[in-house]
Amino acid sequence: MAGVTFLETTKRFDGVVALDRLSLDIADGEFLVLVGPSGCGKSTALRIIAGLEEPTSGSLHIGGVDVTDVEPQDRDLAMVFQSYALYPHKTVRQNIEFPLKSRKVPAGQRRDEAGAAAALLGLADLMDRRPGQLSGGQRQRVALARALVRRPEVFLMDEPLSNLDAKTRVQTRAELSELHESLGATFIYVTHDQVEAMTMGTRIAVMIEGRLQQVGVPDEVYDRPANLFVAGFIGSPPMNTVVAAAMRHEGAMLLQLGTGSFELPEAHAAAVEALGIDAVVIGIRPEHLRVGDGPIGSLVRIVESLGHERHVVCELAGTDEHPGEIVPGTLVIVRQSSEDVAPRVGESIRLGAEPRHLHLFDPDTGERIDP
Amino acid sequence: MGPRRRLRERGLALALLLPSIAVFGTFVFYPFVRTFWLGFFETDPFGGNERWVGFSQYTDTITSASFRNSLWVTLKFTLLTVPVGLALGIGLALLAHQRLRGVTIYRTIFSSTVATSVAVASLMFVSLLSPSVGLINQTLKWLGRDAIFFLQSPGWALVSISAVTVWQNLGIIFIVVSAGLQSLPDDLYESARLDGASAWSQFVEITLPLLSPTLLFGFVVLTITSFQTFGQVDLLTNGGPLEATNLIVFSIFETAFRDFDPGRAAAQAVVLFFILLALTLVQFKVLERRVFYGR
Repeated sequence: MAGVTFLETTKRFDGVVALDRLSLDIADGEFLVLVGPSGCGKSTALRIIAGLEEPTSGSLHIGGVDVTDVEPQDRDLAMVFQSYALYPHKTVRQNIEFPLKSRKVPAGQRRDEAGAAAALLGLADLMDRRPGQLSGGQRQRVALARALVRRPEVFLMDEPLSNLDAKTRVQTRAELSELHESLGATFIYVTHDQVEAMTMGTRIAVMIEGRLQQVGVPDEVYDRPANLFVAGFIGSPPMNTVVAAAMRHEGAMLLQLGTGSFELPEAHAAAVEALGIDAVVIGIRPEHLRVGDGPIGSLVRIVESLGHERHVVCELAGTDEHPGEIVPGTLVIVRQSSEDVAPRVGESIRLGAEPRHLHLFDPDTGERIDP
Repeated sequence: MGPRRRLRERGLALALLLPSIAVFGTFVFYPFVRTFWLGFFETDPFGGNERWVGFSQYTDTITSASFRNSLWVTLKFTLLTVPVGLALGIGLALLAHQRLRGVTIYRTIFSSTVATSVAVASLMFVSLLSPSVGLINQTLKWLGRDAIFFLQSPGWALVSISAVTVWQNLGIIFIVVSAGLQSLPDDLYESARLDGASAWSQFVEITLPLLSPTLLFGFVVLTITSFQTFGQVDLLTNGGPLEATNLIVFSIFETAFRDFDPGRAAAQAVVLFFILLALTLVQFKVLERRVFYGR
């Protein structure tokens, strides 16, 4: 059993907090993706698991054992680096054999196990080449083979796909998921790419500014983002967020957005009232905005066709007629199927969305408001 | 490219090369050819009254017992200075490569011998090695041991000259190896740690192979400079005692300016040139197979 647990783990570099009291339980055999923008502390978290960084306070446990003071080589884990960190002067075979050689595995067994790892990743024909003679994708496989040759309980991966071209990346993504299935080991994967997080993780942990924002299965994080940070980070194009005034009118709670307004379901209304706030941030995913009928008037600014879909950037109409209102974002993005009728730039359109697709956030704390 | 443009580019190339051609021509190519030519003549003490003697001075040089002794002494000197110098330079560079507080002070100290002249280095060692007032012999005396005649006994003189040389070379080797270490990526070592490699195995499996171009450079340069050593001998031992430190360049100097025989000295210098050329070629041929240049 090799689950990984952070307990109030904090890391400071020269007074700068890179990781702020992280507590996270990663189950044995899980594929956990740590995702967040650069500088969010995800790589620091990974390096603390590896033992390459020491936490300033708090502890780290692997398989239930406190390993905070255990040396990297004694933690039974392997890491794939962003740069791959292949030994440039060694052949593919020597690279893959190196972890075994370091652990004094006899030459014959070394050869067999390296051969098996190489075969698993389709490297059998490249064993005598040097890393400099390989493509990016091949190098990445060598790094993977070197990681799995020891059959460690935990695999750590630090942005392993970021140096690959788009096509190889998609392919490798699928292969990594398969590898995880077949090995049954714990995978902890760091990326800034939310597509990788969504497609590969059995759970994803979103980090921003050194803090863990939300952990959950990908759909949960996408459908119920815990706060504005997560809402803006997961999803591409990102979730639209607009501040709207909330007021009671004849018993119902209305949200005023530009020139339009709509009624909030009562359960939500009660939650907003309980917080005692008179404005909320509305979040709507671009694919949930409907063009045609709806309460929100807007002006088409940009139309981008991506072939299979279309992004329409609209400016909310009437927002400048209410100078007293807080309007953080007056631009919203609508995601359409390419089969829908394309609006023209400059055209006035009306936007609407189903109430169940609305996300509400507290404008002061950024936290999600749930009924 | 049209012929006119080609002509113009050639003219420009020549104009740009002219300053270095002039400097090298005056101070390297002309003296070199002139030395080679002078080896065929017997002259008076001032290099005049040339008399053609063909290859006789060259053959004399190669067969002379004194020259052979110089060659042998120089070889021993090279074996004493080059491996020790390289090893110490690497050791110091590895120490100074650690991320420790105040390590830049040590880096400055370690590289400072570069800024020291042979004369200063020699004087410092005189004050260390002197039989009566030297620091080492004072210490030996305090311990109740006999004094060692570092520069006066045939057994110790070459070792003492070698010590000065190693110390003097340490700075440049330290700087070159430090620069090499800076260029090695950290993640290779992090990966090796996770792979379970010990500090020694990291050094042997990663540092040495990746530093090999730097080390080859250091090895060749140190070998050449050790064959060209002159100052320490001139200042500390004058080639003695009993020719124990009569390094080859010092012996050429003696032939030219103490025996007043420029022709013979020229022949010796030319022989030294070919020995060094051959040695360097062999070093490259033999060692380059073990050097990893990336890719």
